[in-house]
This record gives sequence, C-alpha cells and structure tokens, in this order.
Amino acid sequence: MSKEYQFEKVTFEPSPQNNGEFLPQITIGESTHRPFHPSDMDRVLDYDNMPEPPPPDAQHGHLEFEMDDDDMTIRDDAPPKFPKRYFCLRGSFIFYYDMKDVDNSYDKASFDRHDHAATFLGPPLGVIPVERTKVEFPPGGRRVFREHANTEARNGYEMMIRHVARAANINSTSTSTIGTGTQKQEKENSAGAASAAKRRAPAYLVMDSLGQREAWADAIRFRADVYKKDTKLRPAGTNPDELNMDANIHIGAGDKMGTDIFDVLDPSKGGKKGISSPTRGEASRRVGGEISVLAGIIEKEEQTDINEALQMFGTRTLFQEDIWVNDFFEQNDENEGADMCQKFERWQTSIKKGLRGAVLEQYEYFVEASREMTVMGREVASLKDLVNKQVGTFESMKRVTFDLDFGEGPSNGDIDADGVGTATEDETTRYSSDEEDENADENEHKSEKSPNGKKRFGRFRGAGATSPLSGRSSKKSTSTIDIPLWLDDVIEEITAFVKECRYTDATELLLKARSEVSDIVNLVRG
Amino acid sequence: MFVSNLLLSTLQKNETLTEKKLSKKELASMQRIIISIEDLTKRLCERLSEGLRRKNEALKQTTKKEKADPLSAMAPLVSPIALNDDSTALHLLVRLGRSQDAASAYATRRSLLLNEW
Repeated sequence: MSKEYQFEKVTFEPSPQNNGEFLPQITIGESTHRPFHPSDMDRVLDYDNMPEPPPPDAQHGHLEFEMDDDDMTIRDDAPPKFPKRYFCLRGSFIFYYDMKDVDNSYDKASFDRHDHAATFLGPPLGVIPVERTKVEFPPGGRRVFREHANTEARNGYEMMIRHVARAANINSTSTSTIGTGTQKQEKENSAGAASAAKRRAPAYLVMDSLGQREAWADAIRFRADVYKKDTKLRPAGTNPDELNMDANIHIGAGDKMGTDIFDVLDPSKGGKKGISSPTRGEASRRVGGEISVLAGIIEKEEQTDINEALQMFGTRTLFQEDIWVNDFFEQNDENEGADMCQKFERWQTSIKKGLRGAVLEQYEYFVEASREMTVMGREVASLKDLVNKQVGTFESMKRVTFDLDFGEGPSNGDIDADGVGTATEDETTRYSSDEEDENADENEHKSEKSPNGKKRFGRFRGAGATSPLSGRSSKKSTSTIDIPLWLDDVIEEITAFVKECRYTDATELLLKARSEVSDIVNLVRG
Repeated sequence: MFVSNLLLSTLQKNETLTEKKLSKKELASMQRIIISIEDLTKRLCERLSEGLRRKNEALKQTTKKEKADPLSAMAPLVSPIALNDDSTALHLLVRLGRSQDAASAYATRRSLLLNEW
C-alpha cells in the first residue's frame, strides 16, 4: 500500500444499460476510479453532521423497466415494475441491492440500526444520488403517482426523488467530473431540451408504510441540501466497529466528538489493531474514527512506534532531557545512541503524521462551525427582521382607534380611562394647591368657593383645544367627546350648596351642569 | 320631565353609531350626573316649595291671630306679608322649571296680601 494515503469517495457513473440508472464506483484521489466492491459497502460513511442517523436499511420497491434482448435499451412496451430492492442510505447516495445479494440473517433481537449487520454478497445494482434532489409525494395525498396506479406500487406508498439541475454553470461542471449526468437518458423526457438532458432521471421508490416513507424522505431531504460534500469511505482495513466489538466496547454515535491528541495517537483510530495506550482508558480510544482519513493512513509500523513512544513518554508529566539521556547511557552502551536517535526520528515522523490528522480534523470542525455560525447569523438577522416587523405591527395596532366600537372598545376605553385618571390627578393637585394658596378663613373660603369654582370651570373650558366643552387634555382624537372635569364634582358641590341653603348658587351650578350635559348629548347626536 | 327625557335621549343616542362617541366610563359618568342632577333638582324644588308653603301658612295663622285680637287696630299699617321676601325662591322655582309650584306659592301669598288690605 502506498505510504501516501488518498481519499476514497463514492462517485457514480451512468449505467451501461442506458436505462437512466447509475452505478456506484470508488474514486481514489482525484482521477483514479475503481468498481464498487461488495466489501466497500461496510466502509461507506454517512455524513457526520446530520441531525439523525440514516434510516435503517430496508426493502423497498424500485421502479425499473424491462430491458430489450440486447440488454442495452428499454423495451418500448415495457411496463413499469417495482421489484423489491434492499436500500441503504449513506451520505449522498442510496444504494440498492438485489435481495439475493444481501444476507440479512442477522440476529434481529440485537439488531441496532447503527450497526450495518447485513452482509452484502455482491455489488449493488445501482445507486441513486440524492445531492440536489427533491423528494416529492404523489399529489392530493394519494399513495402512488397516477402513472403507476396500475402497477404493484399501489400496494405501498410511493415517492419520487427528482434531480434539480442548476441553471447556471451546469455546462462547466457537467464535464469536469464523472457522474454529473451529462450522458443520462431521460426516460420521461427523452426528447427534452438541453437543460432537461442535464437532469438525472427521477427515481421512484415504494415504501411499505407511510411512516417509513416520511422517515426516508426526511433523511434524503437533509442530505440533499448538502452540496459538494464527498461521501467518504472508511480507510481500508478492519472496521473499527469490529475492533470495538472484539474489545466488547459499544460505540455510541456521539462519541466521535471530543478528540484530543492522545486519541490521535491511539492506534485503534488508524483502522488497525495496535497496542493499547497504557495511559488512556478504553473509552478514550473510541473517538475520532476518521482522523487518519484526513492526514493519511497510519501504517502498522508507525502505530507500533507511536505506542512505544506513548509507553515511554506518555506517562511522564515532566520530561527532562538531560536526566533521560543520563539514565539512557547509564543503562546502555554508547554505540546504541545512534540507533536510538534514528528510532526517535522515526517516532517523530509517525507522531507528526497523527498530529497532522488532528490538525486537519480540528480545521474541519472549525470550517463546520464557521458554516453553522454563518447560518446562525442569517437566522438571527431574519429573526431580527421578524421582531422589527412585530414591533411595527404593535405600534400600528396601538394607534388604531376603534371608532365604530361605540363605548365598547376595550383598548380605547382603557386609554380614555387612563387619560381621565391622569387628568383627574393633575386637576386634583391643582385644585388642592389652589386651596392651599388661599389663606382666607373658612367662611370666606366658603363664600368664595362658588366664584372660584366658576373661574376654575371657566379656565378648564378654555383649556380645551378643539371642543368648546373640552376641560381636559387635547391629546384625544376629535372623534371623542371631552367631558369637563368639573362635572365630576358638580354633584357634590350642588349638594353642599343645598345643605347650606344657598339655593341661588345651587341653582346656578345645577343649571350650568345641565347645560353642559345637554351640549354633550347634542354632540353625541352628531 | 326634562331630565328624564334628556337621560333617555342620551342613552338612545349612545346606542346609535355616530362620529362623536362616549367611552364606556364616560357614558356611565354621564348617566350618574344626569340622575344626580334630577335628584338634586327635585330636592331643591321641594325645599323651595316647602319653604314658601310654610312661610305662607305661618303668615295666614298670624293674620288670623291679628284679626282676632281687639288691639289689632294698633298694629302697623304695613303687614310683613307685604314684604317681597319670596321673590328669590319664586324666581329659582321658575328657573328650575317648577312654574306651577311657583304660581301656587305666589297666588297664596297674593291672597294673603289682598286679605290684609
């Protein structure tokens, strides 16, 4: 194996049968391709930033057409068929297998959907790319699309995975990479326009239940929104899951986070068995399964070197070179120094390789975090706009006057009530201050009360801005009637005059109040 | 009654949607003021009328006593009933819309005055 590790990712090419389907292949590096082997399926990794793991692999119906005798073209009179295929969703691809190529005789009692327990005996029949696709259900809540109503699809719940081609720069991208679909044949739009030819043919799946269709559709939608992200393969070698199974360690889905330098240097991350670090617990060796993918695979010798380095130096919290050198030469011959130097240089190279992987992983996390923060920033900006709109709406609602709600409008009534209360307090304060300023005796005060009251009433009336009756603030709208404040106290004043047998004052005030009320009533009459 | 009509008119107009309107609190305040004004007017008129009636009755009794007194010839020529002491009350009654009560009180006083002469 080459010392320099190169990425392995899943790509696709159009099926040689020219039936609108695609075959998966493995792209190594940038330009080297090889067919998809059955053992590759266990190594295909799902996206690691998905909110939920992919749905469990399951059997679904898949739209296929019967081929001609030459196996190169679709028969013209071929009816659509929905044979059962075994589907696996990984990253941006849905692999589907012939049922005879899948051995899923696993122990269902211990089946965990995160463990890919099925064994694949052959390569997949094809692959459905989900990047830049849309999942559509039959319109009107129907179970199947109308064109498939007479097929066995009517026994299930159908959905369509439709490719949405980019309008711009599609020409440039279509020729640059394999698997962008320039050579695809449109089954429905065989004579379509050039843009239609860029699109991949839609794929139809038939699920057994409505919930299954929803789960798969949601998972596909999440992955369809991820652009230009490779579907990587776990480095060749033993599946880390199997390693952990050997060690009776269950790997949790959330354990991939929190990698540190010791995890980087841990040999189990490289996909091969190695000596366990004596300084780290078993749990710490579970994390970071993809680190070596980023920096290159760590060879067995390198892992051994790293383990030896960890055993020699990993437990030391304080390392002093001179003490170590003295100890070394006390225990070893002088001529062993050169060999030890070469050994240390080799160790250093191995450790650097692991560190490079850690740095690359941190960088990847940083990029992902930046992307998430960018999305969050946009969401916060949209939330801010929304809040501003709501504030504007509230302000406009506050300014609404319910003119037609005659005396029943709660908001207007409340405003009026508040306004009355405020004005009453103001006028009460003014009234009391006026009384305090008068230093006359009580009799004099009583005798002067009526004229003062008249003056005060007259001043209130003059204070009105628009209405001749206005005795309060002119902030109200012109559609409301201002009731003079002195009317609130006029009853008490008249009663006091009557008790004092000052019938003339009482009569004058009473007639004045009656006149005021009459004016208000006339205003109400409009 | 004027106030009753006013009250009914106010209530009716408040039920009609016009450009001018009263809030619920203002409407309640106006109703309270109108009812209070009506009560006060009634009380005021009763007091004025009762005062005039009592005063006229007292003058009538006094006149009877004077006529029964043999020394009445020694009494002053001008009787207290001739004084214009009820003009204010009568005026207020008229202003308050109790013209009938004012007319009755005035007639009683006028009769007493004529009997005096």
